[in-house]
Amino acid sequence: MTLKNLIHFSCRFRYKTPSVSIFRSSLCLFSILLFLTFSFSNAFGQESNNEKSLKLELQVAMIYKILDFIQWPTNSFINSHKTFRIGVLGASPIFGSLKLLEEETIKDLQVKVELVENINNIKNFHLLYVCPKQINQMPFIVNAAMEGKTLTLSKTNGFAQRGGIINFYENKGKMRLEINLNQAKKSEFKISSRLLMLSRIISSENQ
Amino acid sequence: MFQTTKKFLISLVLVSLLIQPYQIHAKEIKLPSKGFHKLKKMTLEELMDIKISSVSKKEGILFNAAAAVSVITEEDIRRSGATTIPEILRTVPGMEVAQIDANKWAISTRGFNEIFSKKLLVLVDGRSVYNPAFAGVFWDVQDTLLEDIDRIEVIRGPGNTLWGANASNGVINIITKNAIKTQGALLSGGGGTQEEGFSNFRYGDKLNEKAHYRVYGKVFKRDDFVDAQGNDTKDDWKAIRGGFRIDWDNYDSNIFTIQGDIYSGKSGVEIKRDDNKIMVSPFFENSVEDASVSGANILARWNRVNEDQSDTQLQFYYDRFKRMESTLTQTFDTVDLDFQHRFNLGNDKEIIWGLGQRVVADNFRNSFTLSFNPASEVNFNTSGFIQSDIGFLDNQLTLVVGSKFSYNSFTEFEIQPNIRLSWTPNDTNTIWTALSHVVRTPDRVEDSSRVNISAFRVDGTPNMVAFFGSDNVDAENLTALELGYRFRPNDRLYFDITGFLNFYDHLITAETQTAFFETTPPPSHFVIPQVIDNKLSGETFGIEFLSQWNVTDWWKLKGWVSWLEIQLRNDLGSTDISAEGVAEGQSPQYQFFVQSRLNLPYGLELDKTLRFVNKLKTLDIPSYTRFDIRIGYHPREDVEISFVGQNLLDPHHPEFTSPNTGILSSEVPRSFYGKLTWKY
Repeated sequence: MTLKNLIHFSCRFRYKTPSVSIFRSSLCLFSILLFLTFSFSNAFGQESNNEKSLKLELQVAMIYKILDFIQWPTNSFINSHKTFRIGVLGASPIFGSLKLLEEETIKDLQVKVELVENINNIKNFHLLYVCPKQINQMPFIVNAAMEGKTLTLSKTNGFAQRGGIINFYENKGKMRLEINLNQAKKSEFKISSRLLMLSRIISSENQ
Repeated sequence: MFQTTKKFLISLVLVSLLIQPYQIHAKEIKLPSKGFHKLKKMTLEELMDIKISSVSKKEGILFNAAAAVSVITEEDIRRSGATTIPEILRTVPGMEVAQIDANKWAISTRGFNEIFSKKLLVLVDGRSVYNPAFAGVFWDVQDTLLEDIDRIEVIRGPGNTLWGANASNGVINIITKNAIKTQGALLSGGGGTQEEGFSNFRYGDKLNEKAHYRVYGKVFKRDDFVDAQGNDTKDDWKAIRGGFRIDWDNYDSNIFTIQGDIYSGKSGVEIKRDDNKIMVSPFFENSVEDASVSGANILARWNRVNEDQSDTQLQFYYDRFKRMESTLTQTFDTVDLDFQHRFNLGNDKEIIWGLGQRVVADNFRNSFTLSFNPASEVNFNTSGFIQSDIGFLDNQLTLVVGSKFSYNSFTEFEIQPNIRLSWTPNDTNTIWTALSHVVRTPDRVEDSSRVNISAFRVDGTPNMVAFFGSDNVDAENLTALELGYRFRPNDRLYFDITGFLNFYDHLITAETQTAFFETTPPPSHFVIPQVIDNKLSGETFGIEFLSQWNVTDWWKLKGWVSWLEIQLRNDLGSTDISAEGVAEGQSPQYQFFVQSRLNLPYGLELDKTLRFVNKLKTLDIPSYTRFDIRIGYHPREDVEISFVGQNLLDPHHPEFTSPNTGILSSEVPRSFYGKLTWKY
């Protein structure tokens, strides 16, 4: 049945009053919409080709926003040479996306994004993005980050439970945040309640 | 000629709705990738709301909710073309929104619609705007900058456990944005045929690194509606309003909010009682006047998020409202204090409990038509609630059990329990059911007023019919059974169907008592008293069906239909033969709504809404179909120009009347307006 025939078939009643006519016209329209809905429902819902790049850009944008809700310990930026240093530990395509932040300022500082070659260098960074394959080194990473007052982030299952401070995760098709608040406090970070309200609060596994 | 025009317009709607996707497909429009530079301009909340995966099909908490919940988003509001909050509510499934005149609405859900819909609770940022004298809402003073509204949550059906008494048929919760989301300047203005002129401004900035604020101002003037012959009536209105909001986050688990509004306005109203049956002079005066309305409110809220994932909220507000009309001048001072605490018991159980105290001091300057005894009184409501959400079967099954306990000045102790169950076996389906028992407590009119309705002569002697409130009046009771099903076959389709069966008893009636003689005001006359009682009961049942289809990323369709049956009966001994018919004939049996929202190339938007409302037999209102259109254009990212046409299918139509109040209703005319918005 063509669309034209369907409209004709649905609406070829004779009506007694204009109000009934309008109501039935409305019902016709709704029936047609329902028909189209069911007919074409399988034609959509395919995965977007840009999903991966969207996830990376979204993480970077969220990092950029999150930093407005976090206060670093006093004197964290004294020896920073007016630079906010972001380190990426491990190989990840997010490195390229994080480089976009070099066009921005964070805490009124110029941003520099670098690969972290050695765990001992973590303390030189204000923010450390940990790639999933580095999760086995978490005890060393956590200690080094606490020493350097370095905010740790990742998108890895169990990151926050193992002492990472902020972890991205996906839920119901959206990017979400979990925060290890105790670990943040140990590192003397102050986190806005507004960010906490938007996040899932996680405790370390050994607590 | 008119019928031809109507047919043409309906055809246009049909054709445009159906043909557009194919035309657009042919042009192969490609939406630009969001990219970091666009994403960084969004708020964190907006970023967290972006769909990143088409695999998951849940719509978040709404999909699992064991209640008939609708959320009107910021985008829904902007694209609706509405300039008032009542007009925005027309998009909610089953919502009865009818305009009485240019500045008065009757708004309800699931029946019992009237100028003061007593069974619908309305809150603005947790502040009740339900008028305790008339148990309804003066919609002409419920306003804010529409761009500042974050969302409007509408619960159809009982919402008493969390929200309190008088939410028996539904709750409307208007939530404004955090100040951090309204930084910078916004200027907008425009005008048209009904919207004679309006202008809005808002400015938001940082007070310091931890605190943000905004201030806003709004002024408008709206034209009269028309009578059945198309002549202007006397119901034009104008208002000016301003307000502020400060959100302070101390970065140590606490957020403080303080906000306030102040407003003043004139709402035209014509009172007319001079039909042949009613003796006007010397008892009643017809009048044409501007009701003078003014008010102010201030609200403070403290939220704390604790390390154990629990959170607490303490809220205080003060609200002052004054309305001056020849029939009544009313002033209310409301003070409210609320506390609530939410915490988890294990992974699958959440408890939320709270306490509240509200004190309302009223003051009336009585008139012959409407008087209160005492003319000034202080009423209070003390309440507490507890509700537990328990998850079973890996949270596929959620059980919500809770109750509200309250003590109020009118009916003393009330318990309002509810039990809700939802089952979400997979990402595609949710089925839910709920059983609730709720009450609607009496208002000051029902408790302690006298309302002189009409006067007529019998054998030369004047007789007057008057309503009398009674302090023996009880709360109206409702036991509600609801069943709902949500289905999301893929990421672009959504269906939601809800059925309800409501059992009412102790509904308000006006029972005729023995006439008595009265000498003042002269001439001496008999009074036929109609005393408020609770002698009506019955059932309402109905179905609300919603369908949403995101046809493409740039074309969205939404449609709903609702069906409502009301079957009431007087209790034994009741003399109020009109109550049954009034309630049954003031709500439409059927309603139908369909909306298309289309993003076109070059920053253009095309939005259309078609709405059918069945006749209201008691009020002699015929069925009507309303078609609205909005064309938006964004020449730059920070500028929006829109053009809106409303009620395009007919020159004017009536939607509601309010015969008992004497208010002369008017008809909604076809109208157009343009608007320019600039954000910086």
